[in-house]
Amino acid sequence: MTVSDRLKYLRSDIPGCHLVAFGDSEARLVLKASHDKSVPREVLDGLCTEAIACFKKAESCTETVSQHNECVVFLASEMRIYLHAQNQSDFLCILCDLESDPDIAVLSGMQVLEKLVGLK
Amino acid sequence: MSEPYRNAPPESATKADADIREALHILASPKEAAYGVWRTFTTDQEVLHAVLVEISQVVLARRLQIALKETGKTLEFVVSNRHLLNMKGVSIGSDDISAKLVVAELRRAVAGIRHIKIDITERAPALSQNARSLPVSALLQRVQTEITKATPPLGSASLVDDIKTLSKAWIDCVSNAENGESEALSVLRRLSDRCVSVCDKSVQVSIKQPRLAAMTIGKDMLLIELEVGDFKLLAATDTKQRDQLLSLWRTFVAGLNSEPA
Repeated sequence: MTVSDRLKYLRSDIPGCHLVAFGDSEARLVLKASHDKSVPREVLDGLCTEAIACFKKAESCTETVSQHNECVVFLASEMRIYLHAQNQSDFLCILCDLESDPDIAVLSGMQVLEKLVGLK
Repeated sequence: MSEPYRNAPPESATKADADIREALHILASPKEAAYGVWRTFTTDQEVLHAVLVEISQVVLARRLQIALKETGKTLEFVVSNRHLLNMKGVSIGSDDISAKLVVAELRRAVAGIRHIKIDITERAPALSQNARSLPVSALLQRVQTEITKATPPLGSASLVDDIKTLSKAWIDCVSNAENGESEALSVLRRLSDRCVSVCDKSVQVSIKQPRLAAMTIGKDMLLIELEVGDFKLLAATDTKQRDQLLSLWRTFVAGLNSEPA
């Protein structure tokens, strides 16, 4: 499976999910994304910025920076889940409806992220 | 023996008289009476207010020293014409002087302080011609702005209270009020410092919309960052509380959506 295939599969696997993006926190870039409608590049860049800000904040609170980071952001109508791979700069961004289950999204997302890191 | 009142005043008049007597007594007392004695306060905000009020009453050039009992530290101010010209005891250079910074540093200095003693250590101190001055009105205005910001926007007070209740510790980033377990608080303080450097530089995807971030730290700790308008709360809780947090958020959002436009 290609990166695009895995992202597409993950999006369809999480109920209420409408965007999945794979990025690199060192490059500060979304490398690949899967979404159901057109999403401007600025939105992806914004998600990337927010993800990195979350990871940096989380890292500032831990003694070890190598462990994976997980951040869920709730907004008025959606939730954003940012997952950072352990010892890597890769991260995953998952956008869902606010009614979605974050536990399912985090679990599925971590499994796919590990595979994506293995693909590199 | 003095003659008793022939016409005893009504009770309300007696109360008013007492108030006037007290006001006249304060007015008649030498100003120095307020100096050199320990004064007690119940909140950080009261201490900050007392310091600013003291500075705001100085017209002639004076060097003031404020002793902070709990920390054993002292703050020193050079004030003239209700303008702050210089201060020592806080980490601000004379070139960095701004209302926001001064108030922030004063808040930091008086955090947890409940007893202060004010003294005039020098009358007519030498004033630098090049010194930048800051009107005390700007400081008071800054404090008022912070108080306004620190008030959770309408509709979010319940959410804020609920998050505080389920948390091990919390910090109100606007008023700098904090409460909870010391270990969790130290983590939150690190997060708070990080927020200053990260949040100010980063551009949020959606500006000013209510936002609740839950970051998992290690296996057990969940850090919460709540932003509603200008209000911001950091809290630490157990990761098991995330479902409860989401439930609170959904209730809050449902309330927002049902409010009339």
